[in-house]
Amino acid sequence: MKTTADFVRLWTRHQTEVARYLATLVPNPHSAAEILQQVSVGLWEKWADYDPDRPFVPWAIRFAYFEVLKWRQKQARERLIFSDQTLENLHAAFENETPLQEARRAALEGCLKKLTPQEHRWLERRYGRGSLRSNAQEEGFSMNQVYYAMEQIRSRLLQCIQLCLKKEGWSDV
Amino acid sequence: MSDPRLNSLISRVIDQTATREETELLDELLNLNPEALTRYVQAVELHFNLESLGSAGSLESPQSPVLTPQNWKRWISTTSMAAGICVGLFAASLLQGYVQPRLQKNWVLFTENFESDPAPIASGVPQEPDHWSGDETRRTGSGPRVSPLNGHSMLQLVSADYQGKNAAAPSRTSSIWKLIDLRPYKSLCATGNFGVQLSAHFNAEPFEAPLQYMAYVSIHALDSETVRNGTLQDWKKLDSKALALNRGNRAVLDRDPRTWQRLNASLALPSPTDFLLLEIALKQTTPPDVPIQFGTQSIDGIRLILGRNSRLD
Repeated sequence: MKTTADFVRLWTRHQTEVARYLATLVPNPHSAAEILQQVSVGLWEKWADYDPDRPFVPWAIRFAYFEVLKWRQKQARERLIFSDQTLENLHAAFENETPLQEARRAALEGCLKKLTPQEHRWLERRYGRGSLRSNAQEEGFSMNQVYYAMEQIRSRLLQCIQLCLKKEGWSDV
Repeated sequence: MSDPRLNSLISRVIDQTATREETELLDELLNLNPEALTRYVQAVELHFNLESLGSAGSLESPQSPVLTPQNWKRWISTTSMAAGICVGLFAASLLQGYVQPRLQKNWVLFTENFESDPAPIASGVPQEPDHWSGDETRRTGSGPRVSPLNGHSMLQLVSADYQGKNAAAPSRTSSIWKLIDLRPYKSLCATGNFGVQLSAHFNAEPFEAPLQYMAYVSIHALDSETVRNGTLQDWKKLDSKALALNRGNRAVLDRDPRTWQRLNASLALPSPTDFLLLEIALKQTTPPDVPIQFGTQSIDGIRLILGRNSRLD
């Protein structure tokens, strides 16, 4: 017997994974947040159909994929939306990458320690609390400077993560 | 190893600063190349993880010094050097071999309105991609009669030479150049169906006869070997080393400061093309006894687009 509490428990535990999936398919964070809401409502409505013997996340992600397609049809003329073919490819790529997500997250912690204090400061400015624009303005930086710095740091972090995984013996990196 | 251009595109999409054209270009690249797809998925994942850490306050470093624009420049220069070492030789080839040219439109590879970047470096033909370089120029706002074509700034041609130029006589052509790395688009070049179109606008404060100027833009398609072996330093040999070149149409600069004259050059890309060398130039075409005069002529609104040859004209 699946109860409301079961749904709330599973959704609370796994909604971050669904949100990450949506961020991959929908670059606009506001649109992604909107779809995430639709997904949570939709999953609750379909809760009776859920087979508790099967894993929750793939079920939720499959549902989220169709929500993205529905949303895309409505927004076909909006900027910054990927084509259907790309969404399908991204969906497949996301599923391929899922097994190593946890390893990459762990590697990230080590890679962050290798950054210089200045690079940490850039990350705080971009991802920390407070408004990015007002932080940058107060300290006399243009937004272009912040974004350029982010591009460089994220690129370094990705390389570092990849190296870590390779050293740890993951075969498919 | 990474391809800087692809990384930059991904980064701009993640940071929501990409234009519609850039997003569409990434969309195409994600379909052409499974490795680009993987890189994009991993980059979004990283961004998401950093957001989670940031909102939890876990990104703070106790020793973080406050950055100032001064030490930012130092940081950027170090980072750029590091990035330059691995200029995407590996990842440029990622896009090869997945030839499904689905591009239906023309893609803007860059537009230049001289609004924010510094003026081109006055050091002749560039040796590295993505930077304007050439004769002496300066970025200016409106002049007495000429206003920028777009925005608030334009580029003024100050002279037809640069300090340290090795030339027997003063030059009569004032040029700026830009080297473009096309290796990320190699799979498109390989089809033989794609080309580029360069356009630029010219204008000048009023000038009297006998002064006269001829404007032109040119494109050289080059392979990596030509760029690597120093031929760019001896640019007079470039025509014979280029895989293809086009100097486009030429126009005598009119004397009306209200009109910006647009010049184009298109070039079908031969399959071995790795780089493009772009030139935007203005030549003083008066008799040799007339002194060379630059300083009131301007360039603005430069654009390079990539597209199917059939759609470029």
